[in-house]
Amino acid sequence: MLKVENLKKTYKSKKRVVEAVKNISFTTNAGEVFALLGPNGAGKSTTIKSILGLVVPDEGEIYINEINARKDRKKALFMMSAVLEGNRNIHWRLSVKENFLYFGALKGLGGKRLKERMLEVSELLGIEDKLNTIAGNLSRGYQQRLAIAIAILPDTPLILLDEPTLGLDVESAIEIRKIIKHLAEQGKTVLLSTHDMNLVEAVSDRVLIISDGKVVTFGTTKELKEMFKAKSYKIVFEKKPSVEIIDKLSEMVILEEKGNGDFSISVNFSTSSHTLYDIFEVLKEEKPQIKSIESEDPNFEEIFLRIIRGDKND
Amino acid sequence: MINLFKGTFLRSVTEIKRYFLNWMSSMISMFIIYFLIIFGFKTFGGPSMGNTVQAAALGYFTWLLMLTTMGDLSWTIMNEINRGMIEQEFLSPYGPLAVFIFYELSNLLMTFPILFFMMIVMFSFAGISITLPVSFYIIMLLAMLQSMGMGFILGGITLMYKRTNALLQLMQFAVIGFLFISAHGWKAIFVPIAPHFALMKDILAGKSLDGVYFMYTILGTILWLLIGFTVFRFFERKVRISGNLSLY
Repeated sequence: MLKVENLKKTYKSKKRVVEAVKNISFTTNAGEVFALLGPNGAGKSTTIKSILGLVVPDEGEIYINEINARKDRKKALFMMSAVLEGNRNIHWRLSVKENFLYFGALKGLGGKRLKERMLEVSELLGIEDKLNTIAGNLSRGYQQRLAIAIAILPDTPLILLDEPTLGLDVESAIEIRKIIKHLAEQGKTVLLSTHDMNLVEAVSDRVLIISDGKVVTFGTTKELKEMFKAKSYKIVFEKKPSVEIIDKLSEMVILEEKGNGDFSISVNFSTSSHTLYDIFEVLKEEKPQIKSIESEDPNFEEIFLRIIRGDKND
Repeated sequence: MINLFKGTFLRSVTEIKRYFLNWMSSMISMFIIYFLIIFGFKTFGGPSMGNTVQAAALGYFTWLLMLTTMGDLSWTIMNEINRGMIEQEFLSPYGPLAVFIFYELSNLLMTFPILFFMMIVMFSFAGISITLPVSFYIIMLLAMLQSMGMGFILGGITLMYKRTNALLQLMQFAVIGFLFISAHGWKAIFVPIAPHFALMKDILAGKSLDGVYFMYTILGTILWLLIGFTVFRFFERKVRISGNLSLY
């Protein structure tokens, strides 16, 4: 559906030169939610804006359903729409309905078709009773719903969402998740850029993690979780080991004391040069009673942080 | 394309309707300045100032016409960059140039009747006959279109450099200078507004329309529109290369 090949972009100004995207390639499929993750300044927004043609890349090609978006921007724009970061997608002084009519017209929609789509998407996004409200008077959550509604109004096969849950309350963020899932079920490709790991975990089929303008890793959320599975263990003791043991262990692993009297050590072998045998070697001296040994599955946020820090390679 | 025009026209109508009082208050202040100028001419100039009063009235009206059409796009772009809406307009498959051409034409369609009404009031006060030939209104429309072309140059600069408030304010006074440029023959094609002003002045003075000069005026209007669109396209691409479209 969307194919990005060897994308490169450098921003040049009198003061500095910033290589925002160094060589990024990926392909997405129809009906897929594809997440683009990375820390601030990783090159996510530049990648999204390059796909949309808001930024002209230095090198690389972008294809949307075989159409070269760099060479035929007009055709490509008929096939994609976007919600960009922040409140930059709606006209604050127009009502919800007027926003639909204006932005629909920008995409070439009009007449009966536009009115039908307006009713469909406003119902889907739960804003059908807000049609006459001025967009600036809506809550942040409803403004974001309107922005998404406007993006899906032209019924394009590709939808790019840049930080769609930023600044939203939990309830609104959950609603946005449902909408993204619904879009994918309808066969749309959703390219998602976000810092919201709960959102990524809940809706993404595949994840591309970029850092410093380069692809760090790529896979399904399941594959990325698998990558770190069983590399972390938690050993829980019946009672706190002696100070000598704790001192030795603290040089090797993360220690944690819980309020209920339990004392545990967390060992992440992807970040530690020690093995479980090294830990037991220290424990053997005193043989403290072990309550349990659990393998820890890190959540997606932890996985992301480890990948960004380069833990994967250890 | 028709749908695009309908959409931009609807936006233009809604904005003017919703903020009509705001728009009118700025127009009223322009009216007051006008009346003071003409009143000054009439009171202190004496009867020999007859033609000068008419020229001043026409000059002021042409200036107002230019201000309304020339600065509009830049202020719109500045507001939209500030609000963050500009990127969505760049995502229209028709391109931002088409979007803003239609938007400006919509604004022109909306403001033309209002300016026409203002002209009747202004000219009546200055003692100018309001039963003017059609050619006068055609030239007035051409002047507005040419100002729109110049507005696209300023709009392109605003896209790139964002805060052009000072430039726009400076241009308000710089355009007065155009009214006094004397452009003879084919040179009229290259000088903005002066030929339009000269022709309108001739019509007010009861002279017959110079067909050749009128042609130069039309060519000049087309030329400045094309220059405006070209400069806008240039900056539109430049801003996408520099990646600072949404930065304010």
